[in-house]
Amino acid sequence: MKPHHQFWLILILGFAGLYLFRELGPTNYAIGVLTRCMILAIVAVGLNLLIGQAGLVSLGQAALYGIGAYVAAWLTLRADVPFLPAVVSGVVAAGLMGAALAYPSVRVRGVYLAVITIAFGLVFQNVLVEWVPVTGGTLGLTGIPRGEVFGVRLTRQIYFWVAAGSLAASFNIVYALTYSRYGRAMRATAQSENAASALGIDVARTRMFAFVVSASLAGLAGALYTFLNLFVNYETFTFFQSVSFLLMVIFGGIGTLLGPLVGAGILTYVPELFQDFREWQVFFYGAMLAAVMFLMPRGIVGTISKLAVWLTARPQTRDAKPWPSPAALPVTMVGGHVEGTVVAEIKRFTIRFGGLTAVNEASMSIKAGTVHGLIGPNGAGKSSLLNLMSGFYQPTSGTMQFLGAPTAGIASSHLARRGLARTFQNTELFGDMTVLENVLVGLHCQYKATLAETILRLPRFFTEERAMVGEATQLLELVGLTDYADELARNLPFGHQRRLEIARALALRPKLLLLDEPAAGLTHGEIEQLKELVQTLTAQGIAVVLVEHHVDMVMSLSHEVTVLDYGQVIASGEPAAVQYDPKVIEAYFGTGDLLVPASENERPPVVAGSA
Amino acid sequence: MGEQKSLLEVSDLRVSYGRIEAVRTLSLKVGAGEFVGVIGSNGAGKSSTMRAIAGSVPPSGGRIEFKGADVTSLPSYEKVARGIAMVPEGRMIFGNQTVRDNLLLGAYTRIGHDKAGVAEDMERALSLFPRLRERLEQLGASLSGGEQQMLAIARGLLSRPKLLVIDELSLGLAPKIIEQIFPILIDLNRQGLAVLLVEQMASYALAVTQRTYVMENGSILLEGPSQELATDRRVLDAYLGRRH
Repeated sequence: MKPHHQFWLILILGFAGLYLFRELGPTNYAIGVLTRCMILAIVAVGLNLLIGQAGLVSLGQAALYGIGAYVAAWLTLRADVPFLPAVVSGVVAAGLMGAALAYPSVRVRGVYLAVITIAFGLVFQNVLVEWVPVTGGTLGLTGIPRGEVFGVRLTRQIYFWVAAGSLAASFNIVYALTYSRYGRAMRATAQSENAASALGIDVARTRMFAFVVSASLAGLAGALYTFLNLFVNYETFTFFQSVSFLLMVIFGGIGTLLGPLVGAGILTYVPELFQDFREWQVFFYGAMLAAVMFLMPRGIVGTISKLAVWLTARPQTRDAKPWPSPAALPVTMVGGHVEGTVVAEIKRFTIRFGGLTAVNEASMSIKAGTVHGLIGPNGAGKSSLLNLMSGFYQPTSGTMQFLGAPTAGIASSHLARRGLARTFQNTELFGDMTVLENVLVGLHCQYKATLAETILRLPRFFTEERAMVGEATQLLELVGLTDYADELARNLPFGHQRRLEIARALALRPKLLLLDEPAAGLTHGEIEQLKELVQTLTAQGIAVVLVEHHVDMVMSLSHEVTVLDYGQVIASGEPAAVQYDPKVIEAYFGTGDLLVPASENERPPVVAGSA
Repeated sequence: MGEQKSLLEVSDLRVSYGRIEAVRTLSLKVGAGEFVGVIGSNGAGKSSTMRAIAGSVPPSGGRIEFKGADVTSLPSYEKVARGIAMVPEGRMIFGNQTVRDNLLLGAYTRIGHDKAGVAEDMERALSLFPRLRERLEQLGASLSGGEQQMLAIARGLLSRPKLLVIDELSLGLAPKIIEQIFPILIDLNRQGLAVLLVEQMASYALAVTQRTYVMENGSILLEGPSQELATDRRVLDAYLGRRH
């Protein structure tokens, strides 16, 4: 089932269910429990964006939930602020707190954010108890009046629908972000930071955005809780509550649309059911959680949908189409720089790691519409030089001009947006995203639709998305992978992964393309096709830097070749001159006695007989 | 190869990932002490076959026999214990551990009860690859690509395998390094180690192996003595790119 079908189905069935529930004439208590469940689900839906898309874990959602609750309660009680502005203030306060927490911690992945949010949660609870004049200490804030909107008093009956509407709105926000360039960027940063920044995505900002959204939704839920419960107290916003939010997401199924709703339902209703067990309540609750996780490791919704895919899937083979097909070159890439103008000028680049000088005073000049070969023994510093050029390393000394502007101190993601694209020696694809999505991430920076247009799904969002899918499909056609478009990237054979990486890099509409061993793992025939592709690109004025061990390929494609050894340029010039340089033969080619790789212009392999 | 009893016998193997069927009804044999190559284009299913043999992906059908026993769905650590060692595509060394520890991890299955044997094999591996001896206390990640490939092979040897499975030996290696590593493999093979080599650069594979399988679309297209295949028109066209 397609995501937008799922979305509408969940929304329609959800509201139908709520309507039925009300028609059954439930008690006030039952209405209250379901309202609380929907409020908790708002937090879970927001947290699912953070965990499922951005791959970050927060264990402090209860504190952000608490900020929303206390801000709304305090404003209502002490400043007579009406319901709506009080709720909005709660959302904003939690969002700001989220930004402040995320700023120092999202640069690094892993457990940092989790630890910081745990610490924040503990501090927060302590502040609630000790800061008596504002928070009311252990008693909390009591006597909060019911909210009123446009003269309508929000009784329990009506408030039920307020909570339902807020949950639907939050669900829509998270859905709309997930299935747009924003969600793709989040998933990309979770799967490969390097590749994401090489495609122009600011990793830290993307993660911060995800965290601010999840914090704001927690704040919204907190403010809504205030006007349901009518008093707030520190006991609600405990570390245990944060864990419980996390469990809702895991339990329902991380990254699924329906999961957090199911999770919130279970974690609200199951404790109610177990109340009769008294002191055994926690025991049964824990045992049930463990049992379900054991049987359904991807959570309830995650496991069931995985099972459905598995049952309906039938093995099939896919074939790569002949490539390259230059006719498929997107119009956005046709034309470009005049051949011969200098695209990048590197002067005396040096980088040291501790005592090791990986690149030592290397200089190169790269011209539009040409291929600049870069060869050298393993460990000579070729990849380090590419990392310097693309902004992944900052040089110890030396400078680079790219399109006439210095690159010193500029982050890799910014260089990418200026038109510097690269591939990686050990391919860095977004393995759990489809082949098409990988290329769409490459197009991330070309999007113009605003956040509001994306969330509200205004016409520009759709027209733009269609255009981008069109361009991405063309790029896949260029490298012959259209047949694989909706396959997960990690399921591709290694050689096809290399092709996909090139297509993804081309989505940046680059002026300079750095290829790090693009032919490694390709067969002879495929290398010929790759050569054709590179020539197609240079014909459009793109400058290509080619690091490669398939010497024939380098020599036949390159206009100029630079040879590195121990980080230093030992030879540079036209391919023919470099190839017979004794220093290069000594450092790189070896004697050639045992074997010679297949090629047209060299001796045939020992056993293969002559051509 | 004569009617030697097969060390490894794969019959009707199938491997699928999700909806993609990578290998379908593939059969191949490796005799004791034989040097066998597998070539073929990308997506032909070579790596999937090797992973199934080494136990890192479960086959969805077929049978794998090693030394006459059914090992089809044994996990890889048990296959290592029985004598199948894998040098994976992309080398997969443990970058944040020293070269010494990488090697010792290769001997994981027997280090508890065969300290002397491990020490002896370690010494042998280091004399095969003197470069590794110089770098024994360095972290794996600090090695160059060629040294990492040497380490991956040496690590494989430390389990004292009967069969060494190598996926993409030449991947990302400079010509000079490739010329250093192949003779070592040939030597090891002469001393009785069976080697199953997947190699994208067909000319290398055909030059060093005794017998070669050509894979296409998940099954075997051709099979025969490497010297004969090296002059086979179909192989020349598709994998050596020689005009004739």
